[in-house]
Amino acid sequence: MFTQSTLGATSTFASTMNTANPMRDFEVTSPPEDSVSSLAFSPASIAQNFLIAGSWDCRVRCWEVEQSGKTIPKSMQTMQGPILDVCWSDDATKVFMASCDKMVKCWDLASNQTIQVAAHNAPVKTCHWIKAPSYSCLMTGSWDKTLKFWDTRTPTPMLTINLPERCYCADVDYPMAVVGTAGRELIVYQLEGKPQECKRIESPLKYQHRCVSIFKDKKNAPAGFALGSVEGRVAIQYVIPQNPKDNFTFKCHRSNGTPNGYQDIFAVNDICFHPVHGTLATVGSDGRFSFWDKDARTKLKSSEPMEQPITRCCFNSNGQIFAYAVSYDWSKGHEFYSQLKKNYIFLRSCFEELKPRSKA
Amino acid sequence: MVVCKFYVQGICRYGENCRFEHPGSQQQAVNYRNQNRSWQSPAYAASQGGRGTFQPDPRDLAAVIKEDVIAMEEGGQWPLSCYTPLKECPNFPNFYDTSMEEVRYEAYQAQASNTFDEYVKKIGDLIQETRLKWNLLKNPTPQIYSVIEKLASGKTVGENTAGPSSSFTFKTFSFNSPPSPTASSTFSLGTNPAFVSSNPQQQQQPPPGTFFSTSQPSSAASSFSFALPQQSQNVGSTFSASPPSFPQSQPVFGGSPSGFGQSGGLLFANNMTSPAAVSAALPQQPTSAGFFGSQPETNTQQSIFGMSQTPISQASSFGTTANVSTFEQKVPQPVVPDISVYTPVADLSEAEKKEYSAVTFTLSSIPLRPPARELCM
Repeated sequence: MFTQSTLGATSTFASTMNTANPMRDFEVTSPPEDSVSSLAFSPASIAQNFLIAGSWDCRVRCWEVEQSGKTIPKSMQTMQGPILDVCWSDDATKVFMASCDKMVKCWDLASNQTIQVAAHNAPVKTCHWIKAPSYSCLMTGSWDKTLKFWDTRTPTPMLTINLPERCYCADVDYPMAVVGTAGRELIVYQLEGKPQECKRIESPLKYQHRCVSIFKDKKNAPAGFALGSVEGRVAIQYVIPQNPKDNFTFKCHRSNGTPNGYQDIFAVNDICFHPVHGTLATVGSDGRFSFWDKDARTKLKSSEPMEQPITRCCFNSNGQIFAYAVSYDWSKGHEFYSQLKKNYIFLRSCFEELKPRSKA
Repeated sequence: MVVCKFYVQGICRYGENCRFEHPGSQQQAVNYRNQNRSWQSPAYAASQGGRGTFQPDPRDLAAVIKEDVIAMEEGGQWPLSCYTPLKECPNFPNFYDTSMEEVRYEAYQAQASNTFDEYVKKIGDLIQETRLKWNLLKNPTPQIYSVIEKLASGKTVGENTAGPSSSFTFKTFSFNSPPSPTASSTFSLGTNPAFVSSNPQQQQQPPPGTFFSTSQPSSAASSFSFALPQQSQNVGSTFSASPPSFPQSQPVFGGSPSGFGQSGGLLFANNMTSPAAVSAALPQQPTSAGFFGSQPETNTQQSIFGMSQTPISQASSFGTTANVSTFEQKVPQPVVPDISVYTPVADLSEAEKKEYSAVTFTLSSIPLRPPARELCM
């Protein structure tokens, strides 16, 4: 395991400076005033980098991220409930915001107007933009146990798929979608032509699903997904494994053994794959991020612990920037929540650190 | 690592040197966990293969379960989770998922409707009930053991994911209608006779300080600092001010710097290269001093959540109002205890009750009749 041993060792001033930002990354200015629930960088269709973050203060904020690391607040929208997920349209003109108010709104950035584009009977946990050759639509997953597909121009969904349980996490990489629900259910959808269920997969994890992220094979087609659970464990799962041993799980976001011999176990809050290298980042309730090479089955890097859990992370479209949000995730209940603690979003120059382990 | 069959029967001759796992054996447990190898785990290796290809001995499975539960409790893991001792197998009955976000939204709703004390009590009860259920897995009753036997043989046990008893229900909400603050969520504390002791005092207490810690003596409600709306500060001004401290030096994120400085016209209406230009570009917000904040709708509300602060009585229904009753009818009861194996508590003599309540039997007065069910938990 790599650690940056130089941090905080030189002077007390340095150590106090580093407790909030132990990795000495770029801090996003004017961060959200409550925990960050969602983060997304603008897609590759525009040259600049814009970062959006949804938060429990019912707001979605947008910054422009300059190459220098400087962030410029651009605009903000408010919904009627806490935000649970955000995503971009493929042309980067719109942002979709999923909220506990059971709606998804579309934010047109050029006009700075919002319009409702989706509705559920319960808070909407996930939203993903699907860009297919023959259609484009918004996929929303909710605690009302449905997955819906929206044209965004009509108030009724194009398609509603019933889920066995409440939607907890989802990811889309055309032509594949995967949904993880309560009760350890996992469903893979194929989106060609029309979205339809492709396969139900027996969960490789033993506890509650929390985050899922699709990875690609060498031909750049979606091949499988990484699934994270509250048990500090990630499963790498191929939809069609060439070999049963291709699927495996690994522990992460745990403390090294405590005196009684047991590890502290933290939830895996988010997983993201690097768009160029195919390596992955995980973030957890322990306040650390880690970089992994799933093919070499090794850890590339682990961060120092932050003051609070890391709730979400994302890469920008060319894989140069790793953004991670430091804020409380409710993993220890309301007693450990303090509104006085500042929330942070940090930006890290990450391209080199996520290069796969060389086959030496 | 495979659980040692002989150890499970108490007759392994190799002790700490055995090459198979001795779950619960302190020395080995410490050894395994201190290895801290990310890619392997004894419990998972023991459960390799999944349903259909591998049929573990129920005793092995019980040992795996006990180890899992202890690791979960000691590790401070999120407890409101479903569980299976074998991956790619059905869930253990009567354990249900509630995510951190669902609990959190429940708390925010309670705060908005001034029913936070009720939330604190209900979530406390839910945690306590869940802890008791986990605790019972460590020392399975005959009923739980029969479930373990079924799981070991690969059968689906009772209900699986249907009708979670400790979940949330949401009132339906029609499209285009104004968002109502009356979304009533319910922690229904469905109880199951197979798992819930009638006498919680006899239960081992949950390990301290692992979750919803009681180490903070002040009342939970008061330590929860929702009461301080911090939004009154002028967010807009901080946002429109351009932080001058950042060096405008060479790119740190690599790639071509040509992207920066190009027109932002694709995204925003005007070419916005300075914050001042941005504010000029947003004429739709006449009241806004900056870009963030000063939304008209938030101005009218002091609530943190942007929801109505009007206390709505039904929003506080943590399983106490009428809409719960329909819900609880669905509570599954997969394991019905066989009452006949027990002696009714009224039939036991005082001496027998005393013996069954004691930590150890007194040698000369071990009861001959079976214990009462209440005394087994």
